[in-house]
Amino acid sequence: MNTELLRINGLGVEIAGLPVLSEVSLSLPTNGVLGLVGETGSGKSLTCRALMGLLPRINGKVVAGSITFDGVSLTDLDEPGWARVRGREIGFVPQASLNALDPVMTVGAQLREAVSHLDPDVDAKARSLELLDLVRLPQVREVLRRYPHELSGGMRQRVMIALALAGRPRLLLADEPTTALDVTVQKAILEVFADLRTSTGMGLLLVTHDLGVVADVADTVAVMYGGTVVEFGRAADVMSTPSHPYTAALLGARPATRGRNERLTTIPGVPAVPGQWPAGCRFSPRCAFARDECHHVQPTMLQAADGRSRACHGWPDPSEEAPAHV
Amino acid sequence: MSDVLLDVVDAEFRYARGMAPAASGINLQVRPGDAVGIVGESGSGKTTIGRGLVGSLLPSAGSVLVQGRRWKSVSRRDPVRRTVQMVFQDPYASLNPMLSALATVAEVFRVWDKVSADVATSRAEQVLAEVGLSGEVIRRRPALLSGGQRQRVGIARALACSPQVLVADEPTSALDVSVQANVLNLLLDLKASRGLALVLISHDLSVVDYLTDRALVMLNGEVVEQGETQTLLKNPGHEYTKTLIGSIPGTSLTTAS
Repeated sequence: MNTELLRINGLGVEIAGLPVLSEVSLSLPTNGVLGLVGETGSGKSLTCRALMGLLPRINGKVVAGSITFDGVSLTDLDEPGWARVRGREIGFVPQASLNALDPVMTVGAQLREAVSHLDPDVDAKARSLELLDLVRLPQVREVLRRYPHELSGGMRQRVMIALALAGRPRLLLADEPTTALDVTVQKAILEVFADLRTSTGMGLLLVTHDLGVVADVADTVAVMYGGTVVEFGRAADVMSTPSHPYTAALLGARPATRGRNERLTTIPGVPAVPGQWPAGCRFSPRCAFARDECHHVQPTMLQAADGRSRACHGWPDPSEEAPAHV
Repeated sequence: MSDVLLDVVDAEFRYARGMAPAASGINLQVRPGDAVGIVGESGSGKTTIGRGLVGSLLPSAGSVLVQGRRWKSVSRRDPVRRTVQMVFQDPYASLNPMLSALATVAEVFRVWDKVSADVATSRAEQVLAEVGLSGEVIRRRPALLSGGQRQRVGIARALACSPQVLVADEPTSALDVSVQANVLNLLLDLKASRGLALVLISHDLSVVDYLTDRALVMLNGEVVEQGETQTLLKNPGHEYTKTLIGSIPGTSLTTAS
């Protein structure tokens, strides 16, 4: 069964009147893993904030489009409504989660607090142990008594994931969960996510700037640039034959793609900044293939026959274009 | 002997007496034009070796010779200090927030070359141009520069000493992949144009593979494997090196391209 868990359609967000996201469209099936990639400032974390209803706290609001979770619209939820979704339907592992734990509470106390708040009918102690088991922490009873500073970075990240699982969410958002970690630890954490997917049946939205991580764990990928999604499709397809010039440029900039001492492909210019988005396609000032219309008309997401979609005027065959159903 | 810029012999580094060494048994020679990688995970001793190479940490045993002299005998103003310069991981934290890019680099010329402010400024402009920064940008303070621009300033500051060895400690870890590509290209260009030797400290094996000819693999303060970078990555001899290589995400991607 590949039912749809999450769909974002044409999402637009403003912070203090400044447009920061526009035309963000993506979808995620139940139990799927979606990689959300893009560089600093492309809008990945803001998309997460919108999904957690956390925009008002930074003076932001949804101004266009819709977010649908399991058939229910989240777009117009009020704060009590979000409180029923946050942690319970959608769990969140924030970026810099290493600093997100309370330094003066033991891991056990923090877990029990989360469990008794989100899942009040179960025995908080037993459930805490179960959660730490889920994230594959060894010697769980010992870990419960520890303070965050007594744990390694990888262990703390596992605790953060355990906290996000306390409300038995059906979707887990993880914002750069392995960015600060060593590669061997990163690999172990990514394996935890893969296990969780099997054991809990939840969906995962993994935000990362690392295309290698996406290639390893995601089924589908959404590539963001300048506050919008520019390409969306099966991870294997997008990574092997990128159809948007930005995706291709990102892949080409990786040192692993070049021989030793051979210059890397770079993207000229600087990334689009919110509030100073260029007219037309936001990538057009940096795009090697930009044509006249690219500088004037913003391309919309169009879906090709193979199910991939992209926002680019340079589609090889215009007759293949059909309105996107992402 | 004379062409050896840095000679590390059985060096051991400790941060305090009685504490376990942060790195030990280090042997390494750097000659003009060399490109050496130091890889390993957090806490493995990579940065400690970097500090030992630039003389900011003296060995507790063994020796580190810079152009044949022990760092201990090199005074603060000794021109030998110019031989080895460091580029730091976090350019934002390593630049004075109150100084413009131009002032940051010009200061080096005033201090080392004892030239007038005007001469220092014009030399700084040249070096900044060499790393691809010119125009109004160089009068900005770090806060108004992008991550890639800040790292270029960090590199320009190091180049202002006319070094022969650049020790770069995770120079691209804080940068996006497209920005990283620019900085790596710059290091490659500088290696060729200035004949610089490069010691690259990085946890990213793809970067080390790309830029270096030889590499040391560190684990818990010790070198577990040392040799030609390509051989090391293709035929790792030590289990730990194999684990590191096996943990690189996106290997399917690499082979596909």
